[in-house]
Amino acid sequence: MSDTMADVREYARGTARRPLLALGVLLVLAVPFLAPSQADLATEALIFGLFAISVDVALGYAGLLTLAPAAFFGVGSYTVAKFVVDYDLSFWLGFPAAVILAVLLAVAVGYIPIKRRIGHVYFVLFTLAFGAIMHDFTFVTTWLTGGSDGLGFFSPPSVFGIDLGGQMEYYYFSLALVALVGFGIYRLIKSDYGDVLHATRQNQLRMRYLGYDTDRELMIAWVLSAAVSAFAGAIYVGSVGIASPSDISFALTGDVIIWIIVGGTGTLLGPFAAAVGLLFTQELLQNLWQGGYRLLLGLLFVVFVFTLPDGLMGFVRDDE
Amino acid sequence: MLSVEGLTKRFDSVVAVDDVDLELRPGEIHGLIGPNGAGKTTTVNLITGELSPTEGTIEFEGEDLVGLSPSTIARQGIGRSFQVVQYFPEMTVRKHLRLAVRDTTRTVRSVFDRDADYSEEIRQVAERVHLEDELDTVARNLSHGQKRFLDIALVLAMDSKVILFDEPAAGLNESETAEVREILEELRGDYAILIVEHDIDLVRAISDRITVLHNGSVLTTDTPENVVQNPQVREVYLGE
Repeated sequence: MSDTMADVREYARGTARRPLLALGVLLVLAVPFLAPSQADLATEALIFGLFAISVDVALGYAGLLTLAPAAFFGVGSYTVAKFVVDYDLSFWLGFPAAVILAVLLAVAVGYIPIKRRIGHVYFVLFTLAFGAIMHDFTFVTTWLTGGSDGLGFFSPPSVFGIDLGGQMEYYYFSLALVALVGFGIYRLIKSDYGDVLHATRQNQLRMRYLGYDTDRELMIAWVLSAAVSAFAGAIYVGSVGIASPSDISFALTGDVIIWIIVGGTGTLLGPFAAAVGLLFTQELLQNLWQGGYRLLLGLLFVVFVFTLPDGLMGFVRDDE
Repeated sequence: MLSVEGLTKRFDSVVAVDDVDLELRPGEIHGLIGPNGAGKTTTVNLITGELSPTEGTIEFEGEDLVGLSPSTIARQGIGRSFQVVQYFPEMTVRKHLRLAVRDTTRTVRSVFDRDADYSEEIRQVAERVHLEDELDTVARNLSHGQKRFLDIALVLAMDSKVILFDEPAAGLNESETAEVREILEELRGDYAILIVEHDIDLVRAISDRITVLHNGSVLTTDTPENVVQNPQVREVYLGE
């Protein structure tokens, strides 16, 4: 690595680390005031940031290459929308229901490839099949999902006298939930459990002979990832007011995988920052060049895989 | 302490391990030798749960180990090292040892263990294998010999009662082999050790008893002196 690159890295993880973090927190808190017209986009960015974090737990820490993140995100958004739009039930009841459904589906999809240890490639294929089934399911079961029209429209309710239907209100509501769940995941990953997953990803055989039930640890990571993805989807549907097939699409799966690669697999903050940054970039490009965003994502994927495989955060953080 | 009786493993028509009896006594170092393909590593894999025996029993402190998973067997106090060193290339020596020292059933709940400090245990184990100055070194940057010592350290950190070393000196130079020998000598009495090794001089020097395998069967189990004098052993193993 050149001296300049090394200096940048040293600066980013040393002197500039705390000011950069503080600036980031301030920006996040002030967005609705600094750019009120962008509050909706900022809300979306936060939620997709949490979504990226959830997938990073499975992909980056446990080494489980899932091709079904959007399926779980969609389970979250559709469950809440179904509860509110069709069943006239509480918006809040949709959240635990979404998480429980995601957990059950994750166990069903992951049990055989993980617990039976039939090979990593089968896990990829199982999730690919699950993602495809879930996507097609939304189109063919119109009575359940609304088909291509989706399920909408609705507004989130008031809580403690605050109308969450307002842009700014829902932004701070989302921020609170994203911060809470994101911090919980951060604490978990920074505990010994993060090292257990990290080590399992590197050498399952050695971990088993140290006494770890690696199948159990991988299942926990997989189910946790699915549950948080669904939780992110549940927050998201409150923001846009409709659950639609794009929430469960392979395009979204592709997006989240690229956010993680650009931000740095197994870094949590990197995928979060990449999701936020690229979502704003998408908005910017949409007005300048339709279709430019997809091309940019493709280019970023190639460039990062070949030149910075550890992503932006991987470049900044310590060797370990 | 560890008792193996009638242990047999067949792979279709091939009998890899054939009616093997083996007893590991507390505190002893027991060598397991034999030509390539004699069934040494298969025996270790059967004891540690990597493979299931076709026939036979494996008892550890009175409990049957057959059918248990490798992680359960490891938690019961049987540790092993590998012919090809198994480690975590992206982690420091300290993190390796922390993973080995801590409660392996308390993983997600470790989020509540903020004050868990294993530094003293880690330091003690690192000293036993001469890695105390490498605690913060990322494992991929260790020399081959140091990786071997790390493999041994992981087993020691687990607080095992029985240790199975599968060729701990493989690929090491003379001075590193001497270091392994020194480390193993220092473990004498603290653990029941089964050592599979091709370096016959090393096995003779440190073993209390030696079992010789040939074509999957036990040829003899005896003291090192008697084993090297055994005409059958000299014929099949030493080629005389």
